[in-house]
Amino acid sequence: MQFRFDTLSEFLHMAGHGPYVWVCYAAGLLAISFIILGPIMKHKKVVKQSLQLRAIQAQIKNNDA
Amino acid sequence: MAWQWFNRLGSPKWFYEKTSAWMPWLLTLSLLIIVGCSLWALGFAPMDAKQGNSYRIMYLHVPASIVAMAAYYVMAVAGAIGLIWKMKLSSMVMKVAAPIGATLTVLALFTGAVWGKPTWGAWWVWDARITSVLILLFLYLGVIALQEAFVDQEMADKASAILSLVGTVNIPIIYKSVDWWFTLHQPASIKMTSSTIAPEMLYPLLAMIVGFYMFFCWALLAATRSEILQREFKTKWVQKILMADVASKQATGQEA
Amino acid sequence: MNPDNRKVDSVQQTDTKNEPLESSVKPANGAFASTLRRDLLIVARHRGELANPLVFFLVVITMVPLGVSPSPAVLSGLAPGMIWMVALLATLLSLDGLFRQDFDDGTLEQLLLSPQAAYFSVMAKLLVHWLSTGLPLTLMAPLLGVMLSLPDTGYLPLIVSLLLGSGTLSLVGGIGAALTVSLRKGGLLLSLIIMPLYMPVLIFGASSVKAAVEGFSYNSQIAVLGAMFALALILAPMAIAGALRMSVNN
Repeated sequence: MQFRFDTLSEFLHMAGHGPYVWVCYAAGLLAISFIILGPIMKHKKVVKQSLQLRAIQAQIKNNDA
Repeated sequence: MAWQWFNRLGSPKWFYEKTSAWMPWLLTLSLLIIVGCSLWALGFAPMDAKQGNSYRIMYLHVPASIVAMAAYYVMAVAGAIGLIWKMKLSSMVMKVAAPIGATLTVLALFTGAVWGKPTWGAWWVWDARITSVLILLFLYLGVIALQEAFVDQEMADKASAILSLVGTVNIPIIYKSVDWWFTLHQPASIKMTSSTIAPEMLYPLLAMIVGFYMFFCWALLAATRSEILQREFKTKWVQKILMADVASKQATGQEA
Repeated sequence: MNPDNRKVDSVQQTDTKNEPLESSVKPANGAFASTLRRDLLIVARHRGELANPLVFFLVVITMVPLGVSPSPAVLSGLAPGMIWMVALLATLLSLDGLFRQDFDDGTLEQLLLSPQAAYFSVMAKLLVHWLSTGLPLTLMAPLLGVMLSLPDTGYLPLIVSLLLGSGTLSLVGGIGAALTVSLRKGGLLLSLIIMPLYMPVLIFGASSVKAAVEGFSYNSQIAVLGAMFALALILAPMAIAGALRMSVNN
């Protein structure tokens, strides 16, 4: 188990295949982030809807009172 | 006893409460595996004799395509359970599996195409595997589109369950057809990696596949949980959770 | 002469002598025959609509030399795939109307409410659809083969593969039509969800013609097309019936 590249620039260059490999891993990062973000955004939306519902209900109560 | 468990499993509230504890652990563990394996794949795995360094893309492409395919079956089975036993929770799992599977399919296609460029000289080659994955993407998009098209959630669930089941029957047929069609046009089948894969290359790949599966499990659970909150919006227990969420945010906001 | 037919006719007028035990032994071909008769009648009354898929077929094939190249060498290479593809597209376009009219006027609901299994009514509708779309397209295909310089050996496999394949296309397409019949703009969605399922049929259909053109045997492709047709014949009507029930319970 040894690090296969001698310098950082060699690591990024990947013997000419650098752009391809790094673009793919960036895409992987993007895909994973997108999948993680999905439920989080939905949760936020539902929380906001709940607050709006509360506000409307409070307003109705005020109007009745 | 088993029936009781099955019935309880169908309750969204029970599901939500039971999964709350392990979510952060599952996410952390799966991300650790994925990041760890990526680092290994990028820096520590030996260079391939034929393909040089571009084969490192395999560590993303192969797990993504495997899980993308598996996700379709998860979606179809969940749909079938929802359709036959009228279990709402199962239908929710089916609904949320589709975009996750589609994202992984797009990743598999993208990495496959980019990998193809240094290997075969072209951005897109109509080989059997990539074409099958492309058709899988169409199947996913069909289910997603069908879900969006219906206003009534129950009908949307039934329709997409039927479509996923029809797709499931078709996937082996499609796969075999495309495979056969490809060998007809290109008898020398190009393999993505050399036929015997060295253990040093294999173990990180297997670990990455496990990591992707775990991540998929987390994603499925997380997405189902937010779907539950959305669908069961009007119930008291959901409102309590949402309000607790708001209160905790306000508390931390005030502290900060 | 047929006691069965008479029984079917008497069902349509309330027959008080019909005991429950008798009605459970209704002839299975009752639903099939009456739906078949009705749909054929509808097609006969709108005979002009039969021409639509055929004209589409002709017009789009005409676009191929215009858009690609009129050279016979190029066209004959494209011919097997193009003819198959355009036949497939023409079938796809005709699918939206398969259940829509009956859905709109409530007949579909009645069909599903009948005591006989929906399987038979569905099969009858699919048969009529094939007779009015798939079969005419198949019969017209050799003409288009001539226009695209299809070599002589290609004609027989073209007809055989289209005969088998168009049946499968009607069956599988019916599933998409049943799923989207209750949606207003179901047409485009229908195409999206059915296309992936059509691809294996296209692959083997076009390949059978291509193989014949290149001088090889095409038996295996036809066999696979036959197998697909058999599978679709058994499974598709069940999926269609389920989807129709779902669509109707709006």
